[in-house]
Amino acid sequence: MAQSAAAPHHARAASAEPEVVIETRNLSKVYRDFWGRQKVRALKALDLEVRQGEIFGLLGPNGSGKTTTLKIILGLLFPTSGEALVFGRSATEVTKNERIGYLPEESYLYKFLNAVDTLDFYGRLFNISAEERRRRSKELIEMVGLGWAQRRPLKEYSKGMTRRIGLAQALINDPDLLLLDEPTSGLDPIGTREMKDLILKLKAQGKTIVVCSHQLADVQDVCDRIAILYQGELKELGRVDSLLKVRDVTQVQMRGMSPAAQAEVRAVLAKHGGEMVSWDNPTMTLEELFLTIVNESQARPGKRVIKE
Amino acid sequence: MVVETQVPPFLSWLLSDSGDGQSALTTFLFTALVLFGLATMVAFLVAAFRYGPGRAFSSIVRGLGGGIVDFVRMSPRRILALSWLAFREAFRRQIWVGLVVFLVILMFAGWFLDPSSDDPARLYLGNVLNWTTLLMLVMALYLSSLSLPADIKNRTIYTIVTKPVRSSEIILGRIVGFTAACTVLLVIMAGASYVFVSRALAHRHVVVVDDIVPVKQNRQVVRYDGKTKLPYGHQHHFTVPANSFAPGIELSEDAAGHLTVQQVTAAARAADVKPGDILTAINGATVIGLDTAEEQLAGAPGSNIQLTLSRGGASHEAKVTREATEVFTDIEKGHRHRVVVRWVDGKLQADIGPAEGMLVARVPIYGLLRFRDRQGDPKDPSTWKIRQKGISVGKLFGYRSYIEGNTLAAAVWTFDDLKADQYPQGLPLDASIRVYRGQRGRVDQGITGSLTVVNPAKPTIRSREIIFTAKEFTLDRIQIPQQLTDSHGKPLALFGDASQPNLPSLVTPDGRVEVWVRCVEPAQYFGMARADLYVRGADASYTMNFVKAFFEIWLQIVLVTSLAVLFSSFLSGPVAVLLTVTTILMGFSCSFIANLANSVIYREELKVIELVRQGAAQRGLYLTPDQTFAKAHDLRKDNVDGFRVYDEARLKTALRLELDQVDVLDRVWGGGPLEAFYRLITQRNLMIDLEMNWAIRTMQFLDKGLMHVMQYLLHVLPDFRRFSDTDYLANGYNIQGARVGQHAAVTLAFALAAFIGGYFIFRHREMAA
Ligand SMILES: Nc1ncnc2c1ncn2[C@@H]1O[C@H](COP(=O)(O)OP(=O)(O)OP(=O)(O)O)[C@@H](O)[C@H]1O
Ligand SMILES: [Mg+2]
Repeated sequence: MAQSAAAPHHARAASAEPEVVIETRNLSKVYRDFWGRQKVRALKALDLEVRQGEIFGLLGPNGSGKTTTLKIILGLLFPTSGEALVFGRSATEVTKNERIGYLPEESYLYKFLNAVDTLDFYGRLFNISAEERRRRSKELIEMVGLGWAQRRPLKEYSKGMTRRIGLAQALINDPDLLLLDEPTSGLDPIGTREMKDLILKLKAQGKTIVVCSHQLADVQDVCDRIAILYQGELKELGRVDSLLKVRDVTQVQMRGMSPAAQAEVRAVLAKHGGEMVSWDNPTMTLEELFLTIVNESQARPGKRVIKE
Repeated sequence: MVVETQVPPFLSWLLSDSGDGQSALTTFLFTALVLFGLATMVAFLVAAFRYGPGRAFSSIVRGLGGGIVDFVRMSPRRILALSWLAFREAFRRQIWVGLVVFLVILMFAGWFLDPSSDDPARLYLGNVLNWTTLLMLVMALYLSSLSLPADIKNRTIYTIVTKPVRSSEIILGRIVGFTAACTVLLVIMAGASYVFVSRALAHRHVVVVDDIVPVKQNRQVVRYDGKTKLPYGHQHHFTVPANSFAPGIELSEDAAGHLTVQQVTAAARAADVKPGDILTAINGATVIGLDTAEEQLAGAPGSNIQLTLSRGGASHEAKVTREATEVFTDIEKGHRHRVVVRWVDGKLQADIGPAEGMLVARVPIYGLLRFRDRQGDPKDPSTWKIRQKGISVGKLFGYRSYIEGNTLAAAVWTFDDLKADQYPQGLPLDASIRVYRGQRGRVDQGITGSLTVVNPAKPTIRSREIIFTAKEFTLDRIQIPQQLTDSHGKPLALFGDASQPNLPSLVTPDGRVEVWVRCVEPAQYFGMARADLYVRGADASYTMNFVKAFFEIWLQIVLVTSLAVLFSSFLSGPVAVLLTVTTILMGFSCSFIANLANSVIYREELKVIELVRQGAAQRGLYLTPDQTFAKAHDLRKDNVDGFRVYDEARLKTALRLELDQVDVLDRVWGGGPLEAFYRLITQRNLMIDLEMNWAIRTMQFLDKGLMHVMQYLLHVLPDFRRFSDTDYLANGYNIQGARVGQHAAVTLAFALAAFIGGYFIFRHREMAA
């Protein structure tokens, strides 16, 4: 016991299955109004597992329950039934937050503080020493590219700048688990690119990252696994590469065929081959998958069978 | 104006039984326990309704356990960070506006504060204190009740609670941060007030030569009467005895009995007197001691005197002029001035010093008051309605008892614990005795009374009557000297005289003495309450008193801040403001609510008491509580109407209450809320009896139920009025340390309760719902 506590990284690397970081069991959430009457069923019996070191994408149309899921994981909401565990602890425990970084949908920061004060303040909430705080906030401001505006109060920031400082704030404690709610919204193309690079860089550092997004192209670029929610239900879950593979189609690429021979080649394709460049199933874009699932769900409501 | 509330020493208040079987601490603990139990029950019911009893139970247990952890493991750095944020928020939300308003009020205070009023010190201090309290409480309320709801509404709270921050830290951080911001303001206001009051009250009068006139008897000038000019709305008079002038030298006596010159005026220096000279003879007579030397030096202004001085062993003569004397003006508007009168070029000149005695912190030492009736018999104090506690403000007549002039009726104060070494100049008494005129006479003249000092152990040892005049609304100073005589002219000592052990002393060895006050003029009355006559101990520091008064305002700020934070932990901003304001207002009217509740709950019984008392009074009788009870009992046996309804046990309670809390004047008429509403819509006078039918009975029954609830509520309401000791400062009385201690402890208890309550609510609140 003492040994595993002393060397958790080693233990994790050794085991075949990486450690489970987030686990939801039969998680449901019903929003109620003041009188306790049911308003919205935002989540219905959600089972998810996010493992150490992966980038997990949470997708779904507007109002499908992505943010709700994140809020339950963070303890901002209490589940109506089922439970959410983070690092094996209940989501309502505050101590788990020491290892979590959270970038909210919109940056809910104190507008009257400037960037330096903001980072310093949140650093103090993590009980980080003054020197360490100074070092980290300098680093982070540099990283998100706000060095030129670090003494201006946040109320003067543009949307993208607010997003950047929000991200810096989420990273102040060097978290093991990052929850990013629509990280690329409001960012310019360069910013989006930087954000994606950053996410990959953080993954390389061994961090676990959960991303909620509509920017399917972005998700496709970075995510290892995705879950697709529709009206609070899990519709699809799996590795991005396998999900996007169209299995009943084969795609062949060739080179060095003269136009005259092409007709012939077509005829004898089964027997004679040129240089085989690729022999593959074509992939669809995530957008196509997404739309298919949404259309399917609209046509046939209810639980969709998930094959992983 | 007399302010009085006796408080026991802090520790005995906190720890020992105060008569009802409980000390403050046990009351606190008991209330806390009840509240805690109630809150847990409510939480359980809510959770059981939501999730079923099994899960509710386990979550309550978990919540309590987690609560303990959350209190034990609070981190100072996080609390500080959150306080700092609240502090910054306070200034971002422009609380300095309160300061600006305050300073503007001070700037224009001249328009509504009249320095020529009766007691300018009270007016000025009362005003700045009330403004400060009002502004600060409004600021504290505004800041603390809107902050958390705003954070939840703007969702900035999301970024806080997703950090490893405990709810306890969030709640405490707010309370500390806002209190700190208000403290900064309060300190500035206190500083400004201090300067403002002392500057506004500081004044010096001018006296011109013509204002000093010699008064002659037998063609001899015996004294000079002086008066000041009028620019501050009042005028002082002073009297200079003609033979009190002395040369301009100051002497001191050393252990060997040598009189050394300390300081000299220019005129004395010119006559060759220098500091360091030793005075050996005056007008050829060898000096004996400082007292006699000063007597010898005194004389008419302008007259000369021959001094023999020794300087460095050599003796020389100096002829000096008696040039100056020092007196005090009379007391006007609560203060007096030192006057230095000089003889310059054959004329008298007066220099008036700064006002003295305006800003003081008197330390009254109260005695026990008993009365003797017309025949000189001791009176049962209860029938005379002497209240043991309370402030006399406003209740002018119900509060005092009256004695008739030119009879044996007397008010007798017994003081104890007087120590001779604390009163070397005799016993200073302050008296403010109300006069009630049965006969007109001259209103501005005052009524003559007499004061006798009596040895309580041996009442035959009594001093000759000291005559004084009592004027309405003035504080008279009566100094009882160390040496007195009895009515036969035989000498008495106040504290006993070590050099004459046979001299009878008035104060007993254990420090007790009685002071008897009688009214001398027939058909006039003196009205007195316990606090109207007291021994004046050595004054405490006014500045410290000022600090204490502001500290108590600070305590109120802490209280409001904690309550507002508590309410804002589960209510929206405006509702939290409303609830806090309601709590403060109810807190301010605690005593009214208590009286209302008692008046409604014991309405029949109080009516019975009143009927019995009225009947007795018509026959000129005073009844003790026991007699009242017995009489009511008899009338009930005879089935007299109105006496049928009451319950004996309740009548006893009502009698106790009537002595204790509900004075006849304090009774609240018109019944509880329902009945009052009924009277309002049917336009019935509050005192009229309603015809009894089942509807009204039901209404009164419900009212009683409501009032019982109110009584329980009173236990958890902060009594704001008692927190305010501004009256003490404004009236120039020292605020006792024990009072401040009590208030601090009560505030701490409330703040702690608000903190714990706020924590549990906030912890189990869904931030994002
Ligand atoms: N505080 C709330 N009270 C009531 N209903 C809510 C609340 N928050 C969210 N909902 C409802 O819950 C459902 C899921 O909302 P959620 O915010 O989780 O969606 P989302 O997937 O994050 O959507 P988006 O992509 O637009 O951010 C929606 O139907 C929404 O209306
Ligand atoms: Mg969302």
